[in-house]
Amino acid sequence: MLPAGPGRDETFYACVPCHSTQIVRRQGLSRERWAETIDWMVARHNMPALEAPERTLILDYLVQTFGPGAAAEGPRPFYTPPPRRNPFQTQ
Amino acid sequence: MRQERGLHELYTGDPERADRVVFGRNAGPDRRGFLKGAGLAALGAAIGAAIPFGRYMPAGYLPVALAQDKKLVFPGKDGGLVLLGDRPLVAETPAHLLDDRVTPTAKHFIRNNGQTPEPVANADGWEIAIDGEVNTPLKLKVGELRTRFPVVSQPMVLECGGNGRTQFQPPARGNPWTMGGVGCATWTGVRLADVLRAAGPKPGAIYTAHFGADLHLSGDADKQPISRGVRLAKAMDPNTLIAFAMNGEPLPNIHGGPVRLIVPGWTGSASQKWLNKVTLRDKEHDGPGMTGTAYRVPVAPIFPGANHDGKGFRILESMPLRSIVTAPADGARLAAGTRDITVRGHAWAGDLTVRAVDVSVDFGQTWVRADLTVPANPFAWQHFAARLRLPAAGYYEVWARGTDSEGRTQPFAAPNWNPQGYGGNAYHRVAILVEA
Repeated sequence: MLPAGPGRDETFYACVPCHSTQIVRRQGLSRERWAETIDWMVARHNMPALEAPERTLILDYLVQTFGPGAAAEGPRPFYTPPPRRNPFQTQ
Repeated sequence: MRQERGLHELYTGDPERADRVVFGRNAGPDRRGFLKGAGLAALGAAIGAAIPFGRYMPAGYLPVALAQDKKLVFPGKDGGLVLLGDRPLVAETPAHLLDDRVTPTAKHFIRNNGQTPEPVANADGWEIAIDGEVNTPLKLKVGELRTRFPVVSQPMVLECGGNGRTQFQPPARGNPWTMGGVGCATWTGVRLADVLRAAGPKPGAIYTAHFGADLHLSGDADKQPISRGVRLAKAMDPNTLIAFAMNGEPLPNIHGGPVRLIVPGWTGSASQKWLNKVTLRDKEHDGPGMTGTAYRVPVAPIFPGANHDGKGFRILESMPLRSIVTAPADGARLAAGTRDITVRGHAWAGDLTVRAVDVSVDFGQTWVRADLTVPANPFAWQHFAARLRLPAAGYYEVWARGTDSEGRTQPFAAPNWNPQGYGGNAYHRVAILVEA
């Protein structure tokens, strides 16, 4: 369930041979840390190296969609600041 | 329009492209999934439909029909567990489901790093090797372990190294554990120390290296998903076990059966699942998960969010002090007029024990000392309970704060930010509402 955007399909096909998109969707990383994560996947986890412009496209998509400001999916308890849904709010 | 696109759908939609993607770019010898057919039939039956392209489905992959986005659906596991990832399979237990003193298997968290292996029919025939810096390398079947060495059975805390990760700001990389990557099940097995003594560690042996039978997610049989180790002293601790039973039953495949290590109080990744070899080394182990920023934390704190390659970090060994409130449940609505409640939970502190737990319902302005049990053994969690007064209707947060046997208390916010988010042990907070 990757949100639409330029680079969505390329990101999907680069990631899902090994793991599902859930782990991707639940990160909220800066460009530097996404780049480092791609390098780590290539160096340690058998991901084929990404050549530019594909790498740039994927990196742009990841930062745009799952950057530090993005509301990462999954449970985020209410520490500081409290990015938390009100459990008592009715739909 | 949003659409789930798991491998299953990838194949259903465009098998040729999927084939190129999955096999052309990333071919591996064990990429073909359910060749034997049995697992496929079972999964097909479970989702109520055949899986047309099941022959392509990698082992360990859970079809999207079984892997709901939020809740785990898995045979033998409680439906209340929260799915953090379906491939690899990772699920945590909400705190209110950890209320039992000994965690039932159905409620124990799951953390896999690679593909889940096929279950083994003859557990007693499973073989483990002890080699490396030993006088007599051994090959032992599980059946022999039971008869040759004393069998130990005790509840011990097993906890994912990344438990508490979501407390970090900016977010740290990895599975978004809240506080539920932990359980205290009864583990039965033989002491690793007894088995290592039978092999005779050489004087130069200082570290272990653990190996399991699960395949790397890429399907590359020459690559381990994870292979960690511990200092020999921890391996020789009488509470470190080669476990073959969990809560009195044969160790389930999803929890690493037929045998796994239990290295209690340390990062769960040291407790290798589907264990098939322990190698003694004359230096610190350097397998996947031992280097860089993996399972390592700064010795000198770094700026939150800073890039760091992990040089100078220390290996996270003992897990830090934590406490969780297991009752009332987060989000509980209490009947109008409720003024007194009982708060209950557990606390643990890795290699240490817990000296005290304090709880608060007024955002930490005042604290009430809870009753706290002594641990059943050095690695079992301790239970706390307290009666608390709620002065009026309204919104409250129950906060819990432990103090360990060396006098350290849990902090309000996650300490010592690190790239992969280890050591988040801020207060557990539970929201409750007393109806007006």
